[in-house]
Amino acid sequence: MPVIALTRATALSLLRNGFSRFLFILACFFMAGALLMLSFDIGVRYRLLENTLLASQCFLLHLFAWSFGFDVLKKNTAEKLYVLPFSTSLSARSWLLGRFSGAAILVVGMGLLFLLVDTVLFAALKIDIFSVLMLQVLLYVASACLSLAVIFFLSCFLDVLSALIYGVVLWIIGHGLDELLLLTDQQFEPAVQILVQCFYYLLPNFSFFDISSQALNRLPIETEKLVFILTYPLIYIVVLLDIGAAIFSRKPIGQ
Amino acid sequence: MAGVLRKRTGREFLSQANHLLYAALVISFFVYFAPSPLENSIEPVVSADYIGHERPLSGAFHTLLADHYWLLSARRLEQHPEQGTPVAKQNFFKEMKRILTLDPGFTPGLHYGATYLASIYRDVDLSHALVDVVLDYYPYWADLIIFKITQEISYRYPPRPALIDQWLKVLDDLSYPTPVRLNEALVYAREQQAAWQQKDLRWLLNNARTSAEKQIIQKRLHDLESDRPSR
Amino acid sequence: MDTSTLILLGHNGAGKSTLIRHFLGYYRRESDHPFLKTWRDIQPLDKQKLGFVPELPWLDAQLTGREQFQLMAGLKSCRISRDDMAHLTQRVGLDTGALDHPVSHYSKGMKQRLLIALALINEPMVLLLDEPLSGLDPFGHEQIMSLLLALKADKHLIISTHQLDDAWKLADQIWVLQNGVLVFQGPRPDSADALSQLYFRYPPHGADSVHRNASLC
Repeated sequence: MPVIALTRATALSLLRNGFSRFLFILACFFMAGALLMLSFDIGVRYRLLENTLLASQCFLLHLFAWSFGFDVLKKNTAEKLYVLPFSTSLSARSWLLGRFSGAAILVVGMGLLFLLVDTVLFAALKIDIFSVLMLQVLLYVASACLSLAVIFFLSCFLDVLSALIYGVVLWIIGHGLDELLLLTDQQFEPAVQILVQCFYYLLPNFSFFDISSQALNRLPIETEKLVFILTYPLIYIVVLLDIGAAIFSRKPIGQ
Repeated sequence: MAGVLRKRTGREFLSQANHLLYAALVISFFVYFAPSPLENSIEPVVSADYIGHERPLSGAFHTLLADHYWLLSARRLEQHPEQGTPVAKQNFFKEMKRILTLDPGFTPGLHYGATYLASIYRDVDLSHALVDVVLDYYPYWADLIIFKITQEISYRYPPRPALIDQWLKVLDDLSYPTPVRLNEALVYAREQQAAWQQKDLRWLLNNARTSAEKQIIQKRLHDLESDRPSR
Repeated sequence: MDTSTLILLGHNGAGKSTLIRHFLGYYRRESDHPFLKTWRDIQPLDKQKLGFVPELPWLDAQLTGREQFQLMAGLKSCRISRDDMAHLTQRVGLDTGALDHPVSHYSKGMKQRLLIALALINEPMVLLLDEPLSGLDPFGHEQIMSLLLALKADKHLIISTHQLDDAWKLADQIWVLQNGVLVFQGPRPDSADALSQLYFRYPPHGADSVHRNASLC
């Protein structure tokens, strides 16, 4: 119950934030911008439109996640919003989970809104609604939520701005982990390979969520891979928030 | 004085380190995204399993970047000063490989690039190297083997102008100026198999849209028919 | 019910707010604050049975009063109806209509009342109030003071304050802190003047001149 109450309050607070409204307008602007690609044909009809839609939705969902994360965490510290809740028997885990869920639920909501926009647009243009394309939007949501969890985790031992910056950097690094592993396997010493393997398994691998090539080129996804990429963010988020809560619970409140 | 020379605390040190890191991040962003001119030098052709830096650094936007390069490649290659030379071939391979590394499922790019290399640049090994770029990724691997065989076949035959038409369609839709058609006509004119060349040039003549294009193709056709060496 | 009111007194930095945080169990280890080792005998309170009013209105300004109630009730794992909210707001003298406005529109006095109302959710036995009267205008001060006097009848109150007159009116027990040390524990003195003398007996270290001046008065 405390988690639900926190989730609701966090989501409401974020929705009323002026910056959220700006982001929503930005999203509309991006969607309209993507429609400009309607007339371009680069060998595959509507490919550029689909590609621009996917890329803009990916960017927007992550931008939403990062700005929501920053807003929630900054309020936590600047307005000391944790002081009153911790006067109840609230645990650090519930606090972190509630605040995270409040932001994540809005990201999920935006993702569903994007899916709706895509479906309506594709139906209007008589484009086949390809399941992998729709799945890609949902995976962007998962990726944004994982990135949000990373920022929440980092904020347990860093200041908010650093947590945000390192979170975004980890998102960028997380897209190149596969290539990094391949490169070190080919060109580096075994010691470096072991080090990179440690990074590979410890850092969040955001390239798992990227099936845009399959989505745009109408290629199938193997079931095993699908199960893995849907399970991976859930496990990673739970582990991150759990470790974050353990770190947070060791710190004094209201300093 | 003691105040001036006081020792930095760990927190201050970390804060300064943070600022340095932020600065490094901003600088690397601009260094990476600064536009670079097209390389004119012949670089050794890299193996198919070479990892380009664009793929990891473009993150989730690699397919969009692939489309960007696909559109850009038309202009970069058509305006290349050494059109039709080994340098142009290397650049063509690099461009196509970059596009396919960024979006391995982009079959129009694969088909176009591999066929162009085998058929027009007469290099079936490079054509196969391009197919190998997507080999680990593309789910229909049997298709790729058949596709490789078709490249072998197309290598044995003269270039087909119809191949270019697909690419021109892209350019037409983007309202690019299209001197490619003209340049490619000159490439064909270098071929010694006169019957095919005449057939191809006639096709190009029928499909030419500007009078300038028509004039040059007619001149080449005339040269060919009068059995004069063309260049 | 037999209730008592404990007033925490002491100079700025004496450790009043720190002691309240200690009561709330906000410190995880003794090393978290240098004062904690002097309070080894003082145990944190049972959070199930207490309500807390912080020094400043640390509330999410985007949420309405009603949403603050719902949040706090959720955090206390209890349900709260609209009638309960209306009852609590009336009890603290807040206009029920204000509940539908964001807290950012509230005055300092309204925020203070809302905080007290939030602390009263689930009828706690103990109320901890950290400087509840600071920064209020005389009207607001009077209203909060009468509210505290009313609450004193059926709750245990622990209040930190600098305002000696109010402290004397409210107190049953007095604790005085000086640089983190609990230097006085006892019943309320007979008069406000006596309380004042008691207070000025424990200045911050290095502030003896203040002590002397106060004695002259």
